[in-house]
Amino acid sequence: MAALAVHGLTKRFGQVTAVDDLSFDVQPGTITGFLGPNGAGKTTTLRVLLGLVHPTAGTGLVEGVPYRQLDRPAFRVGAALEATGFHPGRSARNHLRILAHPNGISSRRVDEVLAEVDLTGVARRRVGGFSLGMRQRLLLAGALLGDPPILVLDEPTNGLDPAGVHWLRRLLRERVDRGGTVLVSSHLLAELALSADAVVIVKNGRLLAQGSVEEVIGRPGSAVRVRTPQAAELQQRLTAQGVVAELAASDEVVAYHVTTHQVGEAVAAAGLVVDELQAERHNLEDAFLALTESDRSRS
Amino acid sequence: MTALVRTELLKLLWTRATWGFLTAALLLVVGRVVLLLGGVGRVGGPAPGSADLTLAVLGCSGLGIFMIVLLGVVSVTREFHSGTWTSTLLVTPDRRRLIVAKVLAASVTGGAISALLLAVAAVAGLASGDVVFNLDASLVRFVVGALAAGACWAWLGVGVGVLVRNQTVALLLPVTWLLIAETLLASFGLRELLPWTPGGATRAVSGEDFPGGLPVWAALSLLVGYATALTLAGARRLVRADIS
Repeated sequence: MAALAVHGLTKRFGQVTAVDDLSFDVQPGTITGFLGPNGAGKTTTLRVLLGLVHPTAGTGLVEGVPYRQLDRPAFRVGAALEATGFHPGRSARNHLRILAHPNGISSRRVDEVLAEVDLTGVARRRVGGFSLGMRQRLLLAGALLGDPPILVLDEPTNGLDPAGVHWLRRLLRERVDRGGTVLVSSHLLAELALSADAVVIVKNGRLLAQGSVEEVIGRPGSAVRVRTPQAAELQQRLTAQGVVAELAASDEVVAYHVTTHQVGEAVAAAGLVVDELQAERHNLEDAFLALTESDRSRS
Repeated sequence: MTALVRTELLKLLWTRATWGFLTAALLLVVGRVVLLLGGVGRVGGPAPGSADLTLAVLGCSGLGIFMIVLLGVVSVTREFHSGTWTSTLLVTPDRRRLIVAKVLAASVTGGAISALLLAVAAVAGLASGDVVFNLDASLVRFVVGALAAGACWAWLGVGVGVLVRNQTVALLLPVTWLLIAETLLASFGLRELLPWTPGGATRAVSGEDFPGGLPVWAALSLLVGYATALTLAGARRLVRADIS
């Protein structure tokens, strides 16, 4: 059973369709990146999954059950959503104690999660004076209170410094290694490429792609680009060896489904001059832009 | 439900507005008692040691109703105002249970504040040497009525907060009603409606004798009815609302 599932989800706000017949599953034991440009419907989808927004059609399920039917949800799903407010006059510790009480979570656990997100030193300070990064850590602390197997995080890196982003990435990986599941929406694609196992890409509320990162971006390093004044000769030699190669420019060859080592051997054997030789690194950003651009041209 | 009510009580305890409303209520009540005691023994003023003076002094605690209803309002609207509804509903997705917990917590707090205001008024009266307390039926009925009114007005505040949600409008509504709307009713020749208003019902619950005043049980039922109607209407709206 999928840890999180969205089936045929549609959400309209008046005349605006925020999510349009969206379906995807999040498999247990994975970090799944939820990608899309601004206004793609990511936050609305997460809020439907968490029972905060009523779907116009379709469902959002947590381990097969609507969120609102979960008994003591803090132990099943931890969520940190963007634009969640804090009572400015309340201390960080009291904010968490208020979240902990209804689910029967002890104050000792509150202190543990404060330590986990490195906020112990400011636990008794009013949240109103917190920086964006500290608020983000406090949101995460709230999500971790029940030590739930599933985390749903909406733009969790907003306001975090590079060290904070690194810490978060490690935290999520550790939880997934222990059998947890994470669904994380982010507009920082490079950061997701480093940490996600799978991605769901949406635009205009519709699904554009879903699968493992490799499936969506293609096999990394499968093409090699060579800049050489003898480009035509290199292209002929590679083609003669059964390699698919094309002239990208008068001084540039692109060879497909080979490694840099194989191309290097061919260059050495022919005694060619090479100005530059590099593996083509398709990344999530390329795949995302290609998908969203092709969707734009279709529409 | 116990854990939820306790959580709502903690929220009230850890909100500065609660202490602000409590301080304002204490100042209002003490000020009114001092003014009242200043007139004791004067022509037209209450006689020292009389039962009327005792009830009048205790009746000063009724001014706290204004602050109690505002406290009830804020216990709900603060969540919308500061955006904490999202985290509240994530840990308690059942919105109906949440509203019930808010009603119970606010009512307990309203009753407790009424008790404190009564005690402060009583101590001020005793300190003056002009007020004597005889534990009779009318005194007991007055105290029980004041506590019930405090609880009901806090509940009314929750109902207004759930229904209106905009904090400024929700705060202005009950005060405007009590200070202006009910006064205008009398001015426009609709005095016979006054016993049926929340303010009129509160006066009756507190044992005040006035023309057309309802029996205590009927007045209390009316207050509970207003609070229930407001809360149900608000809950119906909140349960269907998208929190985005």
